[in-house]
Amino acid sequence: MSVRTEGKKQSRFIKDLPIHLFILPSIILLLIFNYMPMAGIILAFQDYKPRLGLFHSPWVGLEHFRYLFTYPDSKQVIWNTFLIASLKIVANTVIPIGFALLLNEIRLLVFKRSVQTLVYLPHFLSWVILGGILTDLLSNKGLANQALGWLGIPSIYFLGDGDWFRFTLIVSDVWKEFGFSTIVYLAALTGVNQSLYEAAEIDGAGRWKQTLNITLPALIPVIVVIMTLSLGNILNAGFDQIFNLYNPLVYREGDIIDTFVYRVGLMNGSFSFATAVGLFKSVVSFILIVVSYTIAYRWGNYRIF
Amino acid sequence: MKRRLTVVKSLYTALAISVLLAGCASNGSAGKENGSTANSGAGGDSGANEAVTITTARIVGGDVTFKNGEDIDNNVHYKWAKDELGIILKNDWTVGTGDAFTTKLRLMVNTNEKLPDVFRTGDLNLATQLIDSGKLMDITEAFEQYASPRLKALFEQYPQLWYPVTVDGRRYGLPITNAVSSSNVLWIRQDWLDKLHLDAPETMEELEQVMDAFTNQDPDGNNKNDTIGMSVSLRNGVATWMASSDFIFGKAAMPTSWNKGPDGKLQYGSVQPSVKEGVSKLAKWMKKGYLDKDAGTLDESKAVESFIQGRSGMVFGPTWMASGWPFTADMNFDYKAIPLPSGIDGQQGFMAEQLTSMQFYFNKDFKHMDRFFVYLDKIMGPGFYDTESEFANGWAEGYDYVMENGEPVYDHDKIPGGFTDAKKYTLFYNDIQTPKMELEVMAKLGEGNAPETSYDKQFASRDKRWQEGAAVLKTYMDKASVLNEMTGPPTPAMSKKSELLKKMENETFLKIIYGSSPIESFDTFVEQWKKAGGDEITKEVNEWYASVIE
Amino acid sequence: MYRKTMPYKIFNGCNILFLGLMALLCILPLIHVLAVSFSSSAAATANIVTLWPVDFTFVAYQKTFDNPLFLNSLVYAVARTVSGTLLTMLLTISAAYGLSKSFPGRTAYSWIIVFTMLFNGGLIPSYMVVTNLQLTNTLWALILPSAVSVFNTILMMQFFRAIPKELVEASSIDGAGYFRVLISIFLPLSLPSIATLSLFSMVGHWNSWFDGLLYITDYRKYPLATFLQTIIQSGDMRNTSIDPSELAALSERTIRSAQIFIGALPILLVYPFLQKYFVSGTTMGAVKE
Repeated sequence: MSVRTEGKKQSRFIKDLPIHLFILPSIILLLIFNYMPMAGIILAFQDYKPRLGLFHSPWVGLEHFRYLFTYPDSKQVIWNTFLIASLKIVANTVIPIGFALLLNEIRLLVFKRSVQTLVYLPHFLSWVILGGILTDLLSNKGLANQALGWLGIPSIYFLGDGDWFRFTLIVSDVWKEFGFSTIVYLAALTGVNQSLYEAAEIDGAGRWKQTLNITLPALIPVIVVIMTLSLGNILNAGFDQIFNLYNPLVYREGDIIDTFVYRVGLMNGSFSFATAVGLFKSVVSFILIVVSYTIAYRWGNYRIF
Repeated sequence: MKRRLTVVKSLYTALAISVLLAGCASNGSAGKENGSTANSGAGGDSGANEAVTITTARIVGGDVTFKNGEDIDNNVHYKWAKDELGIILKNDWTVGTGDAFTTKLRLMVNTNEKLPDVFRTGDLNLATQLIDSGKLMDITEAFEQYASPRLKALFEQYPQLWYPVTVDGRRYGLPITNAVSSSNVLWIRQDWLDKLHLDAPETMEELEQVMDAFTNQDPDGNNKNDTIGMSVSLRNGVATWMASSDFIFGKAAMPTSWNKGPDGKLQYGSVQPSVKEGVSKLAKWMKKGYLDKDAGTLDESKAVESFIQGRSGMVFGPTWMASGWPFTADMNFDYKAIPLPSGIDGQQGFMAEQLTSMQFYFNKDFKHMDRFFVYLDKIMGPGFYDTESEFANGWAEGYDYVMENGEPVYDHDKIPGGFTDAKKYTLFYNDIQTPKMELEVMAKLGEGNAPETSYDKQFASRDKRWQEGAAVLKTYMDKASVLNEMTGPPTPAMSKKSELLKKMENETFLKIIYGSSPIESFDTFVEQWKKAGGDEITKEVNEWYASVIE
Repeated sequence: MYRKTMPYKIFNGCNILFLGLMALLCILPLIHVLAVSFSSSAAATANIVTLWPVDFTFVAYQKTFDNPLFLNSLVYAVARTVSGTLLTMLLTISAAYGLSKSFPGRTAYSWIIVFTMLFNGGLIPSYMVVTNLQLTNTLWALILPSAVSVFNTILMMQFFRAIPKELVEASSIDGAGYFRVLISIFLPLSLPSIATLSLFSMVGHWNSWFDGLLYITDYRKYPLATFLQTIIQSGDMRNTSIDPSELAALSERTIRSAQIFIGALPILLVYPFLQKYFVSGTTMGAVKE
């Protein structure tokens, strides 16, 4: 701490030099592969013509954004995207945490390990494959509806009925990803100081109390970071999944920004429009992340990054 | 048989005339190139001594296989091109999927990378962008100068082939013809018809009776109400490439197509009154259980599964469905192709295959158009069913055929080392068919005639049902085809607005069919369609049409 | 103590049952893929295979292992995954270690890193950078652009911060430099998180296919995920001239299934080895004693 009292910025920098060197390689790579290409963002304000190149294409200002927002369907599409994505973010955080806690209670190591390995499997199947399987499973004569039939419930058109379609999207996404997402919470659980449990035990606290007072607080930093970072996906509702499952019957409830851009792209292959939409999504995510960073820092006195 | 001969005859006449014309043309322009290659267009091999390199880029998908340690840069076809034509084929780059190919080309044109000399794509949006970039060759003169007589004759026969690549009267690519030989027939369960004492349906009313019986009279005899009348896919709209329902609309107007109206102008099919009737018919069928309840979520190949599994009585689709996919050898029941019943307007009609869906494009700095056309004519030999072609027996001996006692044999088991599809190595990575020629040969076989030429023999090894389907199709193909007349590059309003219109259309139609919207919503759709850009597109399409038909 | 109580025993029983059911639910699709891969082609096309093979056969596996492209792509996938993960983990640990310290400029660095997670210039400029650096058709094109993982770096930093300050200070007093503190204190204490993030990185590399399609200009050098992409795309015959051999390729659903299964196998086998680091739950405590 004596360095600060001397007040010399330069010597502070020299003392910190090793720290800068630890970070520098990553920064250099980011500059080359992420920041340099960001020059391409100007495409969003141009009517890009290959013949004229990046610097001579005509400027159109906010035309592409106007097109996105004045499009008759755009409100619906943006709302769908937001709704589906945020439900997924919440479900994909809450359920893996719950699952990690339940798994944490298991003492039988073989069982614990096998369950964990098995729930991790669906992550490795692509939506093209799962799309085909789900179409069969959820059809009117499929397994899901047969099961409902035994319970005396009339069959549900999961993929053809708007509200059920959203439900299906979220449930199937959770089912595919929760096992994989659980891993990070399990890793965090290993960091919980075991002596805290022992102390609580002596105080006579039950398992539920221990979970509430020891385990969850220990997880909170990781939860906050993951929630915040996943805000970056607030307008990514999962193109691959929806593209492989949607159909005209559920356009109203299931069409999202990415599928919309895909269809427009098929018609005119415009990179400018795609860039503009990408920029819009980035700005929204950025605002949300800044807000949640500030909230955590100001009110929770907690640094996310 | 007779008809086929006349076709061939007229082709030869056209050929003879064009040889004369072409000869004159190329003599007139001699000396433009290095001198040695000037005359090659008509003569074929006069300038073939000097080796030239033609670069390309291509998709190498799972359908391309190799033998004898060869690969895509070094194989029997490339050797042939080098030895026989002095053309060294070179792949600048290869990708595994069509999507990746399009993306890569689009990136190349956007980042000013050098395009390969020759490449093919069917993406007209990409082509428009490529033409606009100024990187493509205008082949108008080169075609006149170097194209072989029979190729010129083909384009004279079908001048509309040029439409997709024509901009301001100049031609920026070479359209490649489709076979136009397999769509569409109605596949039906003959055993079910027999069991229920029904005749094959010829009209819409008869079709409904048959569907009703197939649905409700337990044709499979398992005492369960588990059969449907017809397998249909609605996920991509009512007019699609397999398990489609487009024949319901007859000839009056075809959804998604631009067809000539009574005033001689092009009109969009989906907004015509007759389509409203067709859609309401589908809604009625859905309600009565004739169709699969899941039709809206099933894509084309999934929709056909109910027919394959023996739960459905009919499916409408191409004759090639009997080629091994999607129909399988395990379908242990009697089914066959029948002519399609007449649609709601009392006429037979179906959405016809386009004349062209792939085009060759050329880098504007490519110097050897003459040699390219020589090569093209050679690989088009089989497409013209030219018995003199060096590929008349097949693409490479020991790959897709073997000779036995001086006769080509196509039995895959007899080829040492197994069948390898050598036509996949060509610049088109397939054989180039010419319209309706394949249908003639297949129908001839389907009618029970013995194979004569080597082409007949190649096709004779195909599934019998496919051949019979061709014979059925031939009886009505010409009169029932409804061709989409809008084959030009997308118009400005189309690029901007057709996405919205298409979505609106599919949504409206499907909701009517599923009964969640009343049939009246069709009228609302038509109004909205016109306002949201449909009228504008119609105007532009007709301006384009007027510019090409003059 | 609580383990002996009746309510906890009931809870434990229900818990085991519930977790078992979830595991079962998750494994069904893979069993389906496996069943298809052992079925006859006709049965697969007709879609009558559910969870047990119909007309059992090994043909699909025979053909898969006869395909040099498939085997090559496996090798490229392993090469890419191993080298990519090593690189990413080196960068992640190094940057996260630096960022876990307090010093002027730390916040700026963090934002520079997080910013890239959100904003990008799109396909064209990224492609231009890679081609201009002449990385096309090399392994570098697949590992360099994605070498810095924002998510991993931030998460690693969080884990590093959780390490008790007293341990660090104690060793600093001993005169240990930054590097030695990292090696002797941070790394051993962070094995669970390192294992977790390595797994994320490996899985990411194993599954990523789009960059392969873009930057590898020779289809024979595709890594596995890219190769698989070329075989699972469903055919769209709307506007193409129909060719029976392409149809035949479509019908090979059994081979596709076999390849998907074999393709997932290596990464599934890695899992149990890393698993021990984040299942036991005592690693951290043990080191601290």
